[in-house]
Amino acid sequence: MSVAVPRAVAPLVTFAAVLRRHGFSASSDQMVTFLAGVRLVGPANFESIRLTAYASFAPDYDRHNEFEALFRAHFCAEPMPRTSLPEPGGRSQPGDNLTSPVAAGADRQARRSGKSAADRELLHARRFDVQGTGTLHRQLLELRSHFPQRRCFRVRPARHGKSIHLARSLARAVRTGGDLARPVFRERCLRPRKILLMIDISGSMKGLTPAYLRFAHTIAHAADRVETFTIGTRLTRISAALSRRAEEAAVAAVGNVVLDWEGGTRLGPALGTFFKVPRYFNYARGAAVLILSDALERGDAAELVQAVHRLSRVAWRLSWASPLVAAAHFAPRTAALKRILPFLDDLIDGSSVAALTNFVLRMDEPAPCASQVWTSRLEL
Amino acid sequence: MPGGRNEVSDVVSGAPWPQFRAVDDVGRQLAAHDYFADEGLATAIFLALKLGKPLLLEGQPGVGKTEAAKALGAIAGRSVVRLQCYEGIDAPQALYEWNYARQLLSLRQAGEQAVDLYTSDFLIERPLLAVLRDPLRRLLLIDEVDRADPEFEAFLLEFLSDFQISIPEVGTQTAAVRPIVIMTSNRTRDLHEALRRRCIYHWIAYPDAEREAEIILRRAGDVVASTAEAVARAVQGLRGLPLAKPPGISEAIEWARAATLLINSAGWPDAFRRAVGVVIKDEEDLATVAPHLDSLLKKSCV
Repeated sequence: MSVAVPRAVAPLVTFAAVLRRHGFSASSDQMVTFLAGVRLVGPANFESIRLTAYASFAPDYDRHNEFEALFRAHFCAEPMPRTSLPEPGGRSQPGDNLTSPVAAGADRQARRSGKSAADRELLHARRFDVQGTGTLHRQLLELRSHFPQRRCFRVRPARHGKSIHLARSLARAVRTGGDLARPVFRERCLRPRKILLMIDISGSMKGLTPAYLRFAHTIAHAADRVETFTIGTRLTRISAALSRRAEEAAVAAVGNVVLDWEGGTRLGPALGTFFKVPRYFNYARGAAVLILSDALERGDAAELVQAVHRLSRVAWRLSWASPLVAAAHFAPRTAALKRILPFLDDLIDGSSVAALTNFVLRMDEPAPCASQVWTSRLEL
Repeated sequence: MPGGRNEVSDVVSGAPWPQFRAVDDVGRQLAAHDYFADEGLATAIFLALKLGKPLLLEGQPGVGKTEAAKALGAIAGRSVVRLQCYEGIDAPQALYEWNYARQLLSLRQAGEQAVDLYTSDFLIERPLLAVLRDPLRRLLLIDEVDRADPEFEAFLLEFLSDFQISIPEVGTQTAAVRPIVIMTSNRTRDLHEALRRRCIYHWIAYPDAEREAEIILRRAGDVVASTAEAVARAVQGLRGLPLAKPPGISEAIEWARAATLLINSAGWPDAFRRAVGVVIKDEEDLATVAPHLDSLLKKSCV
């Protein structure tokens, strides 16, 4: 049975539907709050309705501009800018697709030096035909206990713990009339570390990109806290897109979110952008960071070196997987790779998903310093 | 929900909420307590109080989220009970704990006699229970909820829905009226939609130069108006640079104070330059700011 909505309230009610159509969360609870709020504040003008809508529907800060545009289109009949819209129903966030503020300057410099192939970003979407076998997913799920862990504040009873578990000891003491002959000990629990994946999607990595995305999707669903970004000419957060359970749907969503497929490589500025967003910076703190890239940086590598150095200071373990490492006579000889090597814990083979999987499952073991490993190899 | 506390009328009539007739009242009363809220924040606070919903304030560190809660506590005449979240925070640290050491002693003292170990004498109230037991005199501030684990966030959902806590040994404790709850987040991670949905939300942005100068003047005490205006303008300029940690309002206040202290030994704008460590606290940020500092101060000190 449908209930007739009063004409005056109809625009308010239909606004929730508009929000939902554009991928915003607008539950019936929030709708009720919005209506009650509008009644409470007046409404004196459109501004009071707008502020009430913000307070009630709590749009993500990254999507404030989009929310604003939707509000104006709905209530003020202003045209909706098409570019600000994500895929309907999707969770892609325009704010998660960031062009480095320094990219333009760096690009001009590179052009003058003749090292850059192009001075403009060539942005386009990409479709993937990914057919996962599920083997990798099963393997990682079975071995998820091998993901790196850390101690947390929570405690649990433990036979060889170092401090007394008072709650359990009291329960035991009650049974023995107040005598605490054998206290129960406790230890701190372990919990998985954050994992941060950064996937280079530049032209030189084109062949490996689908496999990397499949790998990222598997890790995102096997481990507890995983954040994934693509880096090319810009930085894009794809964690939300990869959260879809079906691999094909997830990879297709990534195809829609990322705009700089097969472009140039601006790892330094892209990583620099990563640090300039406090939220992103916190993802790296104490995390196991894995960068999947050939490190073929265009132009001056100083920015990349600075960014990697900074990343190494906040991350628990910083690993770089390059497909070039699989080559028989590989050695870190490019200027960029030589300079970032001292800051890396691992420089590993990233030529196949199998190699990456093997590495991820060994990540909880002590990390050797990449520069020591490669120096000794080169000496041999 | 018959007789439920979710009904707006119950919420408004059941508790002595701060008497705000309109959104403007909120701004005025906050200003009287040295907190300058914009219209968006005033609307969000007004709605949260009138609808009896938790208020979720998000924003960069140092924009005044916690201060907003304290100012609201002062207006409402309630003490602010703060639950500082951190990674690994657990339900007992937020709800209640038993005083095990005292229980053990009582058990030993009692000897052969029966003793009830689970009375309120042995219960240690933690912030959520403290507010639940006395919602009319306390305001709950759940600070930096984004630092807590997602599991703790899920636990909060339950608490914020029913405002009741179940203590197995004692029974269910329910708030007589809905307490005022304010949550803050620095947005170091995305909060779950379910939590956001239950709250009235506001993103606190950095204030404009005029408002910031006003805040500095009120908060910094011995700072003169021209200094406050110069600092506000300079801080606005600094926020325009690509910094890892843009200066917050508290840093701006400290900068104004520090520059005022240094004015005797160094003139303007050298006092600002010397005190820059108060406002920029990151090596890379200092390097980013260095080439722009002179021109920025020159523009600000007009």
